[in-house]
Amino acid sequence: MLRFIINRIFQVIPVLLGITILVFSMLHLIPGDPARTMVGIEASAEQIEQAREELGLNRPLHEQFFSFVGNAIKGDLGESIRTSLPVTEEILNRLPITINIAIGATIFATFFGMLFGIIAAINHNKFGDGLTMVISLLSVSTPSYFLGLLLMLVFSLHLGWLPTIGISTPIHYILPIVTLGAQAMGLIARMTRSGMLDVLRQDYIRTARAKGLPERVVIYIHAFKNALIPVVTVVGLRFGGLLAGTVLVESVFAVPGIGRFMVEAVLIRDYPVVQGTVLVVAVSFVLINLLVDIIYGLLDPRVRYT
Amino acid sequence: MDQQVIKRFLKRKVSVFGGLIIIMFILTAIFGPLVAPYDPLQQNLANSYKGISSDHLLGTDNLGRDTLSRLIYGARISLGISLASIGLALIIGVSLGVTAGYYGGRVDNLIMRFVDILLAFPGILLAIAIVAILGNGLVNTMIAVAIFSVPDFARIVRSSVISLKETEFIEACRAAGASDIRIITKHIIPNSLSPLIVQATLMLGTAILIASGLSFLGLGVQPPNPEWGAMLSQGRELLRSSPLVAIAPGAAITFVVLSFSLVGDGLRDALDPKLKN
Amino acid sequence: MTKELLEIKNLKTYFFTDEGTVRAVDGVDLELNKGETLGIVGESGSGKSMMSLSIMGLIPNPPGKIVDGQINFKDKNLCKISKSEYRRIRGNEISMIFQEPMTSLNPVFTIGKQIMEVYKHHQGLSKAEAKEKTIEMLKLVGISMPERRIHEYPNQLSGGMRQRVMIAMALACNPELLIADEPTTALDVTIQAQILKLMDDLKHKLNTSIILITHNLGVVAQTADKIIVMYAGKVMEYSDTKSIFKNPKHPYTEGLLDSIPKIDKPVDRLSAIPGTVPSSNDFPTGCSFYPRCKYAMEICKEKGPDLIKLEDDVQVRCWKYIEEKTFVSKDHHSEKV
Repeated sequence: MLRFIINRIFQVIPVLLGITILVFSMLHLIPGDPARTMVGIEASAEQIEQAREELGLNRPLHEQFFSFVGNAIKGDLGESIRTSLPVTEEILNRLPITINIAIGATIFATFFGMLFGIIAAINHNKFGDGLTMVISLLSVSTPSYFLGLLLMLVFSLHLGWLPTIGISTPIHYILPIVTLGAQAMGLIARMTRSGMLDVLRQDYIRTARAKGLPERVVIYIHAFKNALIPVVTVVGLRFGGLLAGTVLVESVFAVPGIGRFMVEAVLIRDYPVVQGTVLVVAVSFVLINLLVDIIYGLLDPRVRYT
Repeated sequence: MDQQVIKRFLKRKVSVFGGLIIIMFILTAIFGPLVAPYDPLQQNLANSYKGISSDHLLGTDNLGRDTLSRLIYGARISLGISLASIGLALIIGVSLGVTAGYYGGRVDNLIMRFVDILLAFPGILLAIAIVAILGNGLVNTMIAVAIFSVPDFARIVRSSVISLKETEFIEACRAAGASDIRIITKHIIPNSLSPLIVQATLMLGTAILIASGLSFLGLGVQPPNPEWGAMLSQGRELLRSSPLVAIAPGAAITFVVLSFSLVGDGLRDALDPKLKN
Repeated sequence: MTKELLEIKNLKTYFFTDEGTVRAVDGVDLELNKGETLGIVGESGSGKSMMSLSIMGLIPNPPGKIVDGQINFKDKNLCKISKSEYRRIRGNEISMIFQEPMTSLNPVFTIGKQIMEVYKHHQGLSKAEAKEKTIEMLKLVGISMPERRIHEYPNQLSGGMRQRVMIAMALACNPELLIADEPTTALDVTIQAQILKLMDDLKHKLNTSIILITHNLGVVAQTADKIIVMYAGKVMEYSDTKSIFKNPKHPYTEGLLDSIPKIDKPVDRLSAIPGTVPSSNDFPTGCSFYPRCKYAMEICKEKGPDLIKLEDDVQVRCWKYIEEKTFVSKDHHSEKV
């Protein structure tokens, strides 16, 4: 098992390195002079020179890269052009909100996705099956930025049950979480359904019944654990995707999370912030996927021993 | 054989339904100017915030622009971006995939590592990063969506090239002295067409999602262009007064995306019946 | 005293599919005494596995259903009892082991957990007690170092080991009836003999009755007291083991016997029976074996024969014998039909 984990960790390192290189080169891929782009067309030559100095663009490329990587590892992502505050600090201030929404959405999506999937599988080819599958198909196709507006329209503006925007109280989290989780819920429901249908046909389910186990033990323990394995992978991979999805949802509900922060930075060309936020989200995504792989190995003995 | 594919596809009613919706949207996009009742950019402040009426089937926005007309013109932009970016992604992705799969070794390693790194940026993040570099606007949105879609195509083509490369008929071509270019264009690409078609169909929907998402964030196509995502972004501000400005493009995106995925699933089953189940 | 443990009367299990009704089990009668081993022999598709699933109450429904008959186990008709009552019997009083020990064990649970479960649900034992009993049971089926094995997953065991685990699991609650459906088919020949011997030993030790289902008459030769030969959902021959090997009555039984390789006789190839079991929804009218029978007569095509008693423990379903009898009793002249 340990070897499996170490192996996976080693596979991830080049990807992390690649991400860093790509994020680093963002600044250098900007057409024209990034310093000029950043400070604006009317800026004086001095201002441009100063921006160039701040961005470290005057130093040799390899030196820039190594200091970027070294600083990033130390947790230093530079300073925001707009606020002059350290990017790391700005990110850390906003990260908890984003993580709360992403975790909330994961729990929402997992719980309801599995529930719908199991209901559909047990009622195979009956009404419950059809209904849950239509819901999941719609939830997969509806863009989150539209779903969010629809929910806001119905639950906030018409019914007045929930607040519209901002994130000041826990109740404010409900709509962003549902909006963000809906798509993953649909996917998880589909996977759970097909996984359960497949597993329920297996010989060992017949064995479990032949042992005289109650049907709920057969379904929720013997079948579910087997159906769970592929679902866990999806949940994990989705969680990383959800982190990126918060970008859109935070914009819909005007939530001051890391996603909104990133979009604002792109709009005002605050490149250190753009680089920092992109790096944080991408690295989290890779690390979460690594974790998912390891959990997958723990759950399924077949993965470990082959 | 092709007739069989069509026959199998027609058997799946939902996919046919999806196909009809897409055809409807494409016709709308092409003949939009002929059917749209108004100029999508024409402001008329005296006529703002109108609800559904016989004059304005989907009402008007805060500037008195006709929502239906904007939706119709938006179909042009949204479907256009989607088609163009997937076309571009196909060219790049297929070239990368073929090169990696056909030549193998170090080239393969290099290309696929690069693809892996692109895939490490989840969802819309890659597109945002590209826009951050290139700036916003219609063409840059297209490029961003194209690069976002490249990895999937590259992977599919590479794996089918690898499985084809060792087959006897490719060996035979090589023995007959055919050049690499000829083998690739005449034999390998046509034979990996099925998975590519399926993936391209599915990605057409995703492309609309990503492009509209960028525009919604203000990073893609800019107002007053009636791109669907840009309309949604505008509709967000008007949710209380004229919700149709948001609902109409949102529903359009949902239907198109849903239809592309239904058609994609249908094509997959039709092109490769073995894959079913 | 030989009170029957199991008595099946006119059992009919049908499958209602889009292509028509499949009569998987079509009017079977059988009896099994305590401590006896009954062999059910037939090719795949003969209905023997559906027989066993019917007894277990595990016929997948839909599309399958027991449409008629009785399964009397001790003093209960299993076709009439409630689901929860059935559940208490399964794995407790009647157990079953299956052909594929690989796929019949749940891959994501340790074998220990899978056996302990049986104790937990049927005897309400605590975890520690169940564990102790599980180790005991594994020892009984000849698994070395059971303390360590209980923590292993099915994929870490060999095929023979897995089948031993299945047997331990089935016999955990000391059932009165064990149904073994092709228990050795998926195993190597050497392991086959070991498993059969193990089952026979345990049968004597625990006084369990066994229904041994197989396509291979050789498998039941040493262990079964009586044998039923099934074809297309019907009993073709019922006989004690000795008579069936010495003097097979039904043409199908003959065919099955011929297909066993014999050590003492050199054979170029197995003389298998030509043809295959007809898919049950297009059974011919008349005797279902008629198309493959080398003794086929006119009447076989028109009408299916009944099961008739030839001797005390020998029954057969074939016109060959019915003709002789009717003919002996009614018509003394026409010797050649």
